[in-house]
Amino acid sequence: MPLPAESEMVRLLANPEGCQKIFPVIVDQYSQPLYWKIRSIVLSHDDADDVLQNTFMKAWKNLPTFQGKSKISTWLFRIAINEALDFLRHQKSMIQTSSDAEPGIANRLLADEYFDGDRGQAVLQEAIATLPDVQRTVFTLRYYDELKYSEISKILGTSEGALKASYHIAVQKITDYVRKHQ
Amino acid sequence: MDSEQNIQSKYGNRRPFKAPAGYFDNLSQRIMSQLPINNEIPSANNTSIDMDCFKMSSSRYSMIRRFRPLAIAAVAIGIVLASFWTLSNLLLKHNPSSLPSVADRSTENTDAVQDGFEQAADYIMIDEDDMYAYLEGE
Repeated sequence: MPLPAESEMVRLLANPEGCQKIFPVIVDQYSQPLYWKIRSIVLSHDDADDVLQNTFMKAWKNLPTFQGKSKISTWLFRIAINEALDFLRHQKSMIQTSSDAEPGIANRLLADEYFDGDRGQAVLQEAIATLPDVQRTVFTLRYYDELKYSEISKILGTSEGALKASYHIAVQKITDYVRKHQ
Repeated sequence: MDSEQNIQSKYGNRRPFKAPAGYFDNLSQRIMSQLPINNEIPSANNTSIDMDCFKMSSSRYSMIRRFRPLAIAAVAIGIVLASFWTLSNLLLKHNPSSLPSVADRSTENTDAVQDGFEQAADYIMIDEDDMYAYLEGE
């Protein structure tokens, strides 16, 4: 089913019958882009799958609060990124309470059957993972998805100037990290 | 930006991840099957039920939002009252002035024994002195 116009989708989402009709179309349209954004943050396929499911669950539950002030894609991306970052925070707190040593991210990725890169790519992902949440998200959306700063600004609710600064700092940190760990 | 161009020229900007084969083929169906959605084709009756449930859930949500500050205030007051009650009970229990001392307790025992003798003496109508003398003899 071709994707209806944004205004038509918002109109359908405003009532329960329309929700049931259009939500499967939205899931079909946005599940892949959401998956890859989530995957860039959580790194593992299984975790990305879980977070993606949680994202659509949260979107479905919060449909009554969606007022159409932003695009549906922007709204979904925001939920997905928040869910992915919440997942990471929860994971970090579990690791801190665990007595087992956490293997390096690069080594973990190289051992992952769904990682499609070499050692350099693994170190790059490790460098990205060391960034604070906002820098990591901005870098991922700008570098891999090539989103404009105006689009990222709407997703994260941060000014374009702050995003540009975040991205610049992220690039510097990644460059230094990769140089040190290659 | 030179640093960005260096990273791009070295690593490219394709995500180095892959998904399991066929993962995306039924992804949307799998996601929809796990959502709390009524999969029946909506009839006129079902439509009205669904609408009521949808309205109830949205009105319940706004009610919860309206009463949340009151609920939070009530819980906070409850916690303060419970803490005050527990603390005052603990202080009462461990207040030395409320506990009888050993000397007081022995004095109370002696008084009790004497009262007992007096009652007994009254009952059997004999002198206390005679009774004490009798007990000393034992």
